[in-house]
Amino acid sequence: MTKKIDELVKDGPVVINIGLRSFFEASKTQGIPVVHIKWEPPARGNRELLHLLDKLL
Amino acid sequence: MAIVRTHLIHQEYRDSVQLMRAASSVSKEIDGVKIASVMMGTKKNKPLLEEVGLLTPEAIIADANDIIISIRADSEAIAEAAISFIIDYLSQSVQSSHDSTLLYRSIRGALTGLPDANLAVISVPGEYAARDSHIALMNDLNVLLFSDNISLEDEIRLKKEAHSKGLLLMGPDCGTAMIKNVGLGFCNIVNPGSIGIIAASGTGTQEVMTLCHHLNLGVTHAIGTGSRDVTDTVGGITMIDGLHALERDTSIKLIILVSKPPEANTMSKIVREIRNCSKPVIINFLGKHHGYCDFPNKSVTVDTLEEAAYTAATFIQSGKLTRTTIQFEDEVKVVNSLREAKQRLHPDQKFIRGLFAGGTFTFEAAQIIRDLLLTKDSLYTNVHLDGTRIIENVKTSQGNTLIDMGADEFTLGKPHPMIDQTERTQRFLKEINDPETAVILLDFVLGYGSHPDPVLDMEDAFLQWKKNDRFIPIVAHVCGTPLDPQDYNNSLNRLASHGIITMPTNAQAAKLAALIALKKDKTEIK
Repeated sequence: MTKKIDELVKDGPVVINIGLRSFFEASKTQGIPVVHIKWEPPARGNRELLHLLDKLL
Repeated sequence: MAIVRTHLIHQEYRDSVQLMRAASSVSKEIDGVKIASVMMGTKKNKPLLEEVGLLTPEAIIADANDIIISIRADSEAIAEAAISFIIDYLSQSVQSSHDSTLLYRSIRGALTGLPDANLAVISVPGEYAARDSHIALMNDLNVLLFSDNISLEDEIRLKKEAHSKGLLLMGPDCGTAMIKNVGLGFCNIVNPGSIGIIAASGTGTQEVMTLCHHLNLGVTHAIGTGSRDVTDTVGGITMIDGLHALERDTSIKLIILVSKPPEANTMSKIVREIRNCSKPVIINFLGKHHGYCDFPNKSVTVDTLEEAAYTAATFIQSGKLTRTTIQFEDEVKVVNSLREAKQRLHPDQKFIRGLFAGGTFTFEAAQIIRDLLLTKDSLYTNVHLDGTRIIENVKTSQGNTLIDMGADEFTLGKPHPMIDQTERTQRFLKEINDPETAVILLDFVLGYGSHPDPVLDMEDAFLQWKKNDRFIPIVAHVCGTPLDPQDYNNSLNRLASHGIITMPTNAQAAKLAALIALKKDKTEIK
């Protein structure tokens, strides 16, 4: 079975960018397929609530 | 008297780079702004505001999804103008980003739009990054984890998870990577070719890949491991997985490893892997003297980043795997610089002052300068290297001083010097007014992620340096290639036009700075 890591180096990156928008722009400029996630702190930054939500999922 | 004003933008999350750019722009554009801070209202950020006296009652009530704009200014009118400027700045960056590639709010959602995705690049705040990395791995995505402040336990758990699924996890704190010649994070653009790099160091990778480019070699992959990968606790999982992947990739003929020396058990493991590897490996374990893992036609150890590139050139050109070293590429420039320094430096000017944007550049320069200085333990720095001393106060130089200005003590709540050089410029002005400064050593890092024109960012400071009565040479190295988004040749030319001595590698810049401070001639080089 081909490992996912081998497919990455063979095919090149197809990127989901989460965080700094400048990295998304840089990937776009280089012409690779990329999407950017509009990220914000989950559960409005409430760690306890996030922990509870993760447990439910 | 200065006044303080706070403005909140509710429920509008922005990443730290965007916010720091806004803060930095307002300080430069509007006179009379004493301090400008733009940050999210997280628990981690509020103490930073408190430290500079900007934690007003409005700022205290902000939550993690609120932007806090805090201004200290000479007058009410200036503070209001600064707040308006920042609001406009942030709304413009939103308008420029309205396109269909920005619709997603989760990894699963993004996969519906880009089902062939094979890599998640994660740069969210550290406290959330392990969670997002786990979600990415669950969805069969390789991960480049740029974020830092990930616990060791999380790193081990994520790396084991990635390994068991045949996925690659680069990082955490992976600043630079390249996959199939695509730069990720802070990365230069170089010619593609038969070299693959695996490295625990961002600027170390950038130096090796750009030097390879200048030597007409090509680099196709650069896998970042994160600095803790080679500790025995982590066991080199990413380095070994990366080595296997590059071994299987038929486009790669030569592998270069750059890292701090692995801990004992991991070192044995890596040496074993190198012996079994079917491709030649050049090893630069920073700070470790060559000769510890040399097997004929299989592996060779080198002392510096430039040696790694020169050794690669020897192998690609002749097929011989032999450590290749060079003293200086441009000997005439070196001899002339040393002659002028010897003639013009005042006897009180004794010390090197190195102000670095790159952590590995600081470490490599410290290693080289330590070995050239005549007095033992006479080099102060904020990087840990045997035979050097940890500086007492990072804000004030003592004797020969090399400072990594990208270290945590400078970047907490402030932009990294590769993005904004306000801190470094202020420090530079301090050093040129110190009568004991003999030479200033600087690095400029180009490539994606870095400042659009780092030389321009320090231009005003260079003009002040030129007005100085005292002769103080500056030695600079520009890490970049003509393919980078910044203009590499123009950066070099502008530095030279100011009278700054540019050197082709960080190692040669460090050597020259040491010889200048010691008031040596070329003939006296060891």
